[in-house]
Amino acid sequence: MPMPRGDTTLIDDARRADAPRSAQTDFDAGAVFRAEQPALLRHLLYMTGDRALAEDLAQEAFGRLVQAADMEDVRNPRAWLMKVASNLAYNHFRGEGRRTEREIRTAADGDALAPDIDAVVDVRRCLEALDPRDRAVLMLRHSGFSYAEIADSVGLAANSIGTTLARAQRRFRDIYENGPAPARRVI
Amino acid sequence: MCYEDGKLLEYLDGECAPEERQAVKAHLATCADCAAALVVLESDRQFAAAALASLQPKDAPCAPPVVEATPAVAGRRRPAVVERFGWGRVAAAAAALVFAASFAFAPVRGLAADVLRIFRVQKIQTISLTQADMDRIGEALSKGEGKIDLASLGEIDLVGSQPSPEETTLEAAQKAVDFELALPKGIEGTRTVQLQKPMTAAFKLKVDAVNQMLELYGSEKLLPREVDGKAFTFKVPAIVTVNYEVPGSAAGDPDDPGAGPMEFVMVGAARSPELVVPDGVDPLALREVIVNLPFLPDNIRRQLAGVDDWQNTMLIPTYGTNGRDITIKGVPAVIMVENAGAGPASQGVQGYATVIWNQDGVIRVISGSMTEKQAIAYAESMMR
Repeated sequence: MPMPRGDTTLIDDARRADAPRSAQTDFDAGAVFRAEQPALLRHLLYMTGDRALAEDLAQEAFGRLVQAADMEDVRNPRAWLMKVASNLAYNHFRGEGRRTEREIRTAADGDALAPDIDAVVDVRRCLEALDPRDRAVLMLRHSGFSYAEIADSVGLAANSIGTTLARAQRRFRDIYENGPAPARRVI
Repeated sequence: MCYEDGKLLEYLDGECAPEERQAVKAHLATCADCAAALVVLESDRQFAAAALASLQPKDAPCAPPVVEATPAVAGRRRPAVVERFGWGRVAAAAAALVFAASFAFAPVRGLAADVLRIFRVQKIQTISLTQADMDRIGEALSKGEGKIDLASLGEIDLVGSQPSPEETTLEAAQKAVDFELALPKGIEGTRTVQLQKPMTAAFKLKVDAVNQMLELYGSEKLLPREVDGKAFTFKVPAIVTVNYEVPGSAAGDPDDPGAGPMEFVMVGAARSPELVVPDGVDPLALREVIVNLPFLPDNIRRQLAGVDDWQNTMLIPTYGTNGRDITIKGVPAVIMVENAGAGPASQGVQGYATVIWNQDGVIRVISGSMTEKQAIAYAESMMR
């Protein structure tokens, strides 16, 4: 499914030369929506943690799919939607920026019967303290996407996903266990 | 020439091109530095997987809701099941894994009155506990937020507890316990052994404070007065855990079985923990209070009340529908299975399986990245 862009263009040109210039005639938007919306929403909710935002982004992704299906053959609507949705989520992370200042640990109430229980660490806040791209790559990998799919969603070369992911996993753990680094001042 | 982390992770995740994979594999066989780096990468991967699993939406079988943070000892990697459950729970080795949540202390069968005060586990049974149940309990409890000072409910004394288990040899661990350590047959891989020394927690409840809290939640049954200031003793015996690091089975590559990700399997064993109720306290009265806690969802209350054999039963919450009671070679056991992430391209990664059982007074558990079938086979090989 993810192909080097050069080849895709050539193949599409070849197809267009032979086929009538019309929209993808077998694309039934309603059916696709019913089939794909639940998974799409679930994915966006996982990525953003915000239901209202997830719904907005899902709608956006779906709108783009309808437009795209008008222009070209969308072979795999689910994969297409996931890729676009992941990209939208990634853009959202970039917009949010990094929350290095925020307190990421919330202590559970001191429990008289179990004083050794450690503080509950807020996973999402740790994620928010990561670089947006690292955060996207980390989350996408841990919801089952391949390196190639991740590369497509965040606009990286596939052969740099390994490095990014290794760094992201290490940073995430570091933040989780030791807190975010203090904001660095650039002189 | 050594490889960078990025390339090693590609290898670990099964994302290398075939020729490259062969080259990395060959190199790993001879390079200790890269092999060590690989272990750290896998450990980080497991850590992130466990943490992110908690973000998966609620209609999926839910992962344990809290991932404990423990300071990482420099250079020491934490076993996968520890990443998942945290040392607190694993150290209790399934025996007391959710003992505090089980509500099902039961007296040892039919002896003199004072022996009835000793609660031990003889039978393990599942109780279905979904994320929705936990939410409901959480919501009900949150109504009391700000009104209750939990520290005022009682005090606790720990004797012999250690911050984390110590690493040791199989021989030394065997000497520390009075039962035979049984290891699963057919697990290839490196192995580390840990021993958690026995520990006792003595706790005393302040009845007035507790009853005030119960009343706040609308409980009609209160704790009997004679509980006040009396010590309950919770004894956790020595717990042995054996952690295996196994080269993964093929993530879809029949030509290269060793190329998949590293997997971790944990085996634990311990005698049953013991709860001793103080003199003059009626354990059945305590049970009444617990079963009638008003913030318990009905389905939980029904299950608790429906445990037909209050004698010797310990309930293990299973999250969602992934846990069930099974029998292996006639021995009742509990199995819990958690599947891999639900992405469109899951790379053939396995989920986790856990089997817990109680045989001849020893509670045993095997848990790790394996299929249900493998877990049962290993468990069976550990049974005599």
